Amino acid sequence: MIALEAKKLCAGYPPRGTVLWEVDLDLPAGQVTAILGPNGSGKTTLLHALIGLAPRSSGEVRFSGKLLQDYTRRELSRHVGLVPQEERVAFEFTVLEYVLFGRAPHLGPLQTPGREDVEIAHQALARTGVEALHERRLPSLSGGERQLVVIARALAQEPQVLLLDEPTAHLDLGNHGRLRSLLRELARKGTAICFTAHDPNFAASCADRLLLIRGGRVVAEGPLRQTFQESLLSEVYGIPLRVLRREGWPLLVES
Amino acid sequence: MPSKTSAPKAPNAPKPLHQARHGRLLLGLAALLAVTFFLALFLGRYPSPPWLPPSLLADDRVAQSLVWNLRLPRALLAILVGASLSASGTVLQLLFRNPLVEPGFLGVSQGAAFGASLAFVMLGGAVAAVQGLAALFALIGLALAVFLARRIRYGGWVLRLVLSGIAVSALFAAGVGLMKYAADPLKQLPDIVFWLLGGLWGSGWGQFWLILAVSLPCLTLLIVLRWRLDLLSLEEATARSLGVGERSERLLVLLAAVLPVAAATAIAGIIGWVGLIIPQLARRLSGASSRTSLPLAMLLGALFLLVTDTLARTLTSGEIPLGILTALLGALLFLWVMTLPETKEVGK
Repeated sequence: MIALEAKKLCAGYPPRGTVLWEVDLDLPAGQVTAILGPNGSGKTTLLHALIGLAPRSSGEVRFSGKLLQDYTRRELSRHVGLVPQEERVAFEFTVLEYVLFGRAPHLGPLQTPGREDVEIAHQALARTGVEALHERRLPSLSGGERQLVVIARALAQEPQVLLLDEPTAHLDLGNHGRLRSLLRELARKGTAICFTAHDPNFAASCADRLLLIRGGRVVAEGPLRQTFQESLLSEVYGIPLRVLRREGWPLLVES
Repeated sequence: MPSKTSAPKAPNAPKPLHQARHGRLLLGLAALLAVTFFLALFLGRYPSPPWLPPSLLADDRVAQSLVWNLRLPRALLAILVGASLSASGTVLQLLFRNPLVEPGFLGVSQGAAFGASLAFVMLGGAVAAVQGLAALFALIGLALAVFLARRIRYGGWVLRLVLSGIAVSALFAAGVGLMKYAADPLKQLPDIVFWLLGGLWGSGWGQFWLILAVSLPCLTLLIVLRWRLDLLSLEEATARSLGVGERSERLLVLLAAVLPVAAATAIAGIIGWVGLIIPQLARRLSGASSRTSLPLAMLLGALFLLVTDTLARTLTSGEIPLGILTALLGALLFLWVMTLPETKEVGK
């Protein structure tokens, strides 16, 4: 089942205008899709366009077969979660208070989080492995802890589609592994996952499908096997690259 | 799955300690406010300093009128203005993701200042004219700031409003300067300067009901929405991905926060520092979430302004402008609290 799909999507933020050109992308439920591309290739804009944040100039995005613009923001927020890159929070909320923000889509404008919401927030923290931090204040966290807390906030939203912008940016190697198993576990339970990444090797170790993008245009899209190829990746990054095999895993290196 | 999973919490786990602490803090402050309020009614220079013996109320007509027509509305007004300024400061700081935002910065303070000085110079400075024009121009300042923010083609919602607020304030500040320049230096100029420093003298029941009519609905709305206010402090992409912070919601909250300030500034002049410092204090004492910090800020602000206003009218035989005392005491209080050792951090 395709959870989220884009067809001939052109989008971009003013004042630059359109930076994405005719992107076709399927995010199937239960699969992890990684978006790879050099800096400035439009990865973040694509992620934002998939959730209706970046203005769309043409083409369409559908969630569960229905056009994105036919959902209210509130409806959509119950189904699609976003983990932005480098989220800055201006106030010293506690970790638990922050993760509870993820319950907003499920609460009415005058409601406040109840016991059940607190319970869900605690579970989300446990799933990302940072439950022990729940009383700490956000500014006291390390970059990696913070990233895991932001992911927990998106999990508390209980989304069917989870979009993550550079989720590995602040994580050390141990946390890479933790994030990988978390994303695989979410996918196994039926969530459609899509993340952007700088590191092709992390993407290859975690994703089922790849979207390769350069200059706002899709170079290739499809299952990892067909898309994690020397020729395609070299074209995307503009330098010669080689794919080695190590214990069955592909490993991309400069040649 | 991550290796570090912990047992799910029992649903009836006891409330964290800080919530109980927060409740006690609110109750204590409310009691303190009640005592201060009672004292404020009797402190003063009639029949002789420092206070009016309550027994005098039984048969002294002047004492009755003094307490009933002057001190009671003035004390209530101080409470209302203090709570409004602090609530507004808390909310605007969240909305603009900036803990240094003051409630009047969106053209409200300088607009009111311009309206008042215009009334002093052009209309002879009758109280009704001063307050009326101050209210009118506070609203014009706000409307102009919001309107111009929509025309700016640069940056996000927050940045645009900040920029237009600064520009509108500067425009009106220039107008105030012009009025001061044009004012009669012996008669009008001292009036303008005195008004700009803020104060509650000359306020009675009429002013109280007026402010109550504006503040009560606005503050009630903010209190009811206070959890959503926290969400509005998140970055735009995050807030929108959570289905909050559409323009209409932000505008509603903005108006609910600024209208009481416009009303208060029109009646009482520019009372600085309260709306900037009290929210900081409240956050420091009860944590960042407005679920706890907004009610606390309102109580603290009410208490702070009641104390400073009582001091303003009793310390000397004249009247010390309120703005001087709020700045002086506010800054001292602020420094004291900010240099206290941090004790609340729990966990590792």
